Amino acid sequence: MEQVILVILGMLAVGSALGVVLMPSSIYSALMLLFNLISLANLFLMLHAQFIFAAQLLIYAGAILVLFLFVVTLLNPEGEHIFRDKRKLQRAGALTLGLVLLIILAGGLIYLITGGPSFDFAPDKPGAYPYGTVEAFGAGLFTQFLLPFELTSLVLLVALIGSVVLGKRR
Amino acid sequence: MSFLNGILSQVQPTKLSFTGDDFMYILPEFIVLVTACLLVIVDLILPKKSRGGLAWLALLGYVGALAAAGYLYYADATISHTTFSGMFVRDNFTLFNEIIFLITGILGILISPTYSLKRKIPLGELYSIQAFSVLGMMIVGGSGDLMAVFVGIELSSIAVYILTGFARNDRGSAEGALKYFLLGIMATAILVYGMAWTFGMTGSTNLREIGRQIASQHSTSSNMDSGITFAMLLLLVGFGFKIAAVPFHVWTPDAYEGAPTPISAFMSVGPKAAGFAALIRVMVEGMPTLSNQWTIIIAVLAVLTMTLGNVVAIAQNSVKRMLAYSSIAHTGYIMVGVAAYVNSNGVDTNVARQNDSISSVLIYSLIYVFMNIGAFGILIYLQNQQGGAEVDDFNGLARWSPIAALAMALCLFSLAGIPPTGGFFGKFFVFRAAINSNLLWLTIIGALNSAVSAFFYLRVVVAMYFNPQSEESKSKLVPTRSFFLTAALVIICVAILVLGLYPDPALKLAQDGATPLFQVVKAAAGQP
Amino acid sequence: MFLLSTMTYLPLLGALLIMLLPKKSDNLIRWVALLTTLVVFGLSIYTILGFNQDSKGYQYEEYYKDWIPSIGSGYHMGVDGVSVLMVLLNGFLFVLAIIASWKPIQTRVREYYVSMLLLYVGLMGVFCALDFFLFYIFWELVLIPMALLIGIWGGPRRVYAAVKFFLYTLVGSLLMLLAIIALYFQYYDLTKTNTLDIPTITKIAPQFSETFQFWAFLAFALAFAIKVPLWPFHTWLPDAHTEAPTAGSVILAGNMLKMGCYGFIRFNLPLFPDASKTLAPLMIGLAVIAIIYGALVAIVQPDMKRLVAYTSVSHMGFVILGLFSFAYGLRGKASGQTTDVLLRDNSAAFDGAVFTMFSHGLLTGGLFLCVGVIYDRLHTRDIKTIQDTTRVANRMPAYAAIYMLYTMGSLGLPMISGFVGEFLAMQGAFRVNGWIAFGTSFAIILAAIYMLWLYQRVIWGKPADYELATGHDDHGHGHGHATPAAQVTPAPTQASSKKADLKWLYQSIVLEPEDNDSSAAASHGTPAESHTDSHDNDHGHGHGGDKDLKENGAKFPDLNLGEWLTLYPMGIAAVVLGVFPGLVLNFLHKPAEQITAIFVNHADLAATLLQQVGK
Repeated sequence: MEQVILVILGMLAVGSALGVVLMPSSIYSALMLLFNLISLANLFLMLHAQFIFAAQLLIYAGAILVLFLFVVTLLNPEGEHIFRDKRKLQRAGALTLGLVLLIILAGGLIYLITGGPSFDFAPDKPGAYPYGTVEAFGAGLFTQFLLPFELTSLVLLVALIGSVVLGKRR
Repeated sequence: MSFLNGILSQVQPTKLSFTGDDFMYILPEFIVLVTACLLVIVDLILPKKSRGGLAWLALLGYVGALAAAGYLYYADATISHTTFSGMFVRDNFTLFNEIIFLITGILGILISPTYSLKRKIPLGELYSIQAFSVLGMMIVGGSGDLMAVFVGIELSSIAVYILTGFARNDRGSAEGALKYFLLGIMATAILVYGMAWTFGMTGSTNLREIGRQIASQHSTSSNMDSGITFAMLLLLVGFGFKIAAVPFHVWTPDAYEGAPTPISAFMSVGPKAAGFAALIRVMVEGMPTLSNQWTIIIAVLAVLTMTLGNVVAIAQNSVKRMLAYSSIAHTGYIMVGVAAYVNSNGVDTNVARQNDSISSVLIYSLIYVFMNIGAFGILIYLQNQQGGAEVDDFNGLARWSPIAALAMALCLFSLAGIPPTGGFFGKFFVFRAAINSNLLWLTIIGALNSAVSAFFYLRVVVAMYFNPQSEESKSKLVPTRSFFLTAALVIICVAILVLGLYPDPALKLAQDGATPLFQVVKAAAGQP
Repeated sequence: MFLLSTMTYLPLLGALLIMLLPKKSDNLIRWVALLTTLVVFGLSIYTILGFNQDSKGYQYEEYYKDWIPSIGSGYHMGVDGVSVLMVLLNGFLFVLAIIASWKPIQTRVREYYVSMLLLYVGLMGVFCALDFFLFYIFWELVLIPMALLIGIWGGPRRVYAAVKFFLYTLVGSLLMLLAIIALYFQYYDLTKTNTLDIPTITKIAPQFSETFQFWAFLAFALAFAIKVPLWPFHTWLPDAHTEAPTAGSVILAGNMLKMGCYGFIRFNLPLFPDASKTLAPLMIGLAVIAIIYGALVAIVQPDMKRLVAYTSVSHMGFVILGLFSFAYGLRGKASGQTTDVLLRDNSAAFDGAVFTMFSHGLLTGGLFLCVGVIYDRLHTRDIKTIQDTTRVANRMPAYAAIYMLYTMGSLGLPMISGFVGEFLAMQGAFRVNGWIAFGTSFAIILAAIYMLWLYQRVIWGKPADYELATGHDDHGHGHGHATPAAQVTPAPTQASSKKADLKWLYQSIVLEPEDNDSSAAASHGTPAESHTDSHDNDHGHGHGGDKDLKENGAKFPDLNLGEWLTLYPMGIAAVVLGVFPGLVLNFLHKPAEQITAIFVNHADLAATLLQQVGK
């Protein structure tokens, strides 16, 4: 039974992925992408990864795809003014808050480096959380996979800066 | 499914040993990270006029990171310490790669300003994204886990995709960036697929654990055999894209030609060296028992890569495109060094021979950084002066700028592998490793290829020294001076000569850098 | 102490100094270059005077083991009897080359002398280096400045010649590099130590398997054969020689070709004795072909310099013939001969080979200088044109005299150095097989033909004094077309003479006088430059030179000081060596003995040494 569902979902995922490429209209492509993401989410569910299933549905199917649709439908090449914010007060406030954040973070790091308490994020006994649950996932993210997780934020940051630079001014 | 569950149950969060010391081990990476962030922020705050200072900030960051890496080496010359739950390894291989990437970063900064200002490329973002890219490469070099390899490669690649498209007013730049991006994410997908297969077969993403698993299961399970071979092939294809090996090279010429020249220089050395670092980490640490299979694939690819790169380079009229193909050819030479890793009966005890193979890759990558950025640097100089990048634009360079012509000749002769330059020593060492591994046929092809390559490098030298300058180019000449570019070229020329005539210290460091890999390999095979 | 290093790097110092000199100090640059070469020449004389001819092995050794210990390479310099001669030849010819380029080189003087001095560094280093890595660096270092010399200051097809020269030699060198690395690992397998030290490897090398020796011999031989150049790898030589500036040709013929021969002596014979014996017939065969072929092709060359270049091919064939006759003669251990007997019987071949190397440097260098003198006056090297122009002998008696000396030396007249070498080499060949000596002796006759005929045409040329050339247009100037029959009777018809007159009239009116350098280039019809003065496409070659003659004909002076200073010392040296060959031959006893010892005893010798290394 599992196998059958797996194959069906897999075929759906591949078929919809093809659809993304082959559809003539970008709206249809986006909808096919939605279909694809949902099939993938179900595949994750099959693998007992409930958290990723939920995340997939919420983030990709929910947020990102909606953004896609917005971009596709509302794309306005002259939307540059968003980046020019001249209100000085706001700028000063942002700067102050940013600095405060920086100091807090830097202070924490320095505290850590200069021999603060050694943290113990790990669960008391191995296998405490069932595989695929949010707890297990979170624990994994902040213990074993801490470095890649943090680096992923840098990937996003670079992508952000890059899209601003490339999208700005023409 | 039960099989899968069995494996997955092994993946439980392990206890995180997380002390201040762990931060010490990633100090160089951390410094680069801080520099990259600072660059974005300072760029916003600084008034437009004083943004030249950004280059100094970036340089300070890189030099600081270099000093930190040097300090860690000085503190313990045989350091081998895993941190962040095995994600990051601080050993001499990491160190040598950090040196390569940081030097790439430094030279990349030095050659940029004049060119970028002329073309209105935003400097702050350029430096910052470049620093992020360098950070990604450094992570790759020190990765002890497939996850770190992947994230590191992505961080550096995405940064380079963006950099490729930085010349927004240039159609070629956008085209190159798009091609690079599309093929790059395809390669990434293949890479991830290969990593997933590896994980599925061995139940771990940790390279050392993978090595142990393969070594212990290799003989017992036939299921393992085909599955892991498939994973290996996928990984090779993925890395092949990153290092621009034929037949995965198609993005290279367009991306290099379209990108702003300083970026071409950067991306022709940095991501390539990072690709090799990843290849070596994954293949040597993770799959040493399969080396018979992957070395032969790499040897065959090396032949294709060298030959195609060199033969096609002959036909190029654009020096930039020629250097792109020449960089493909150099990938081939470095792959000869990787192929020399071959061992005939599993993990054998002839570590010295395999050490030669890996250290030849390292030393060649280091030398390649200098000579290739040098050649691009003169190209930038020429473009600053008169705009063109064709071979004909080099006509008579020796007359109106003898020093630049001399520097270019030095870099080109080094690329062609003619003594007394570093390029010769690199080639010597790579061929030496290959001959020691009974790959004489490969070295003969390599030697013939370097004779072919001499032909097109010589074309530029001929243009510079033998041909008169055309009137048209004389009229276009706008003398521009750049302190940074000059500094970069001086560093490069000195480095090329030093690496050619007194390579011993660098070579020792490279051999030290290769050593920790074999301790891992031996441990995986259960040897002392 | 450090004598060899001083000699090697002093020119580098000179080159740096020249780079730092202020602009527009051409004469100062020339003097600095001359002074540098004179000092090095002095040092090389000092070296050879202090050289002990009766001691085995290398002298003036400098050895620092820790150059690149990771690959077993040390900084090792030293000379034996053969290389000390080559060092002296270097020192001598470079002084002359600097003097010879005093007047002819007027453009980009600084770069010229820097290239020249860098070339000097490479050539000195090649003959002194006793470490493979070091040797290879110097070996390749020679390439770049030479290519520049040909490519910047050469004739009309200079770029083609420079690139061809560069690529040809590079291919050979790369295979040699692989062979060196293979040798290095063979050595490692036997002794478990890494070294690139030439004397150390030479002690063990004969122990290697025959198959390895065979292939390594071929790889080395290819590199050296291209450099020598041996038929059929010689095709770069005529182009390079023809296009190179005079001084470049002198160095090319005098020193660079010797690199290949030296390679055979230093590497092929002692490193691979078994393969040398096996392949000696092949090498002898190639050498014989080179000797005859070079001579035959030389006869029909219409260009003086090309002719001399082909005589080089022929003469260098004698060197290879001598060397491998020597190797072939050393087969005979089976017949129970002792080292002494073998040496007595065979050393003639070796002596002849090395002596030819030395004397060829003097004689052919001299011939190139003579060509340079004519070219300087007439701006053409086309024999026919020169012949039709004037009787050189009447106008330049001193030149005609010294040219006669070189001609005679080159064709092998006794009392001049050329004879000794060729005689000894052929004597060696005779021991191998009488027919080989018989065959090659024809080359001497051919040499007489091409040299004397060249002399006749160039020096005695036209009976009358200077007047306008006539009718040369009818006698095809395409290279290789001119047959002896057509050229023996240069009887211009009246009609063609008229036609030619009209053309010169036209040219002298229409064309503006050009300075010497550019018109010299124009006279050879580069596609870019010659279209102005070659209205008749049929004969783009010769008439340009005559135009210059028209302008410069009145000035037809005999040798100037610089030419005296180069041509006569070289000629005197050739005669001295011809009369006292022992001056050179005495240096060769020990090297020949050592190679013989390796051939005869290599098995026992290597085995004992292997034991020593083991301890």
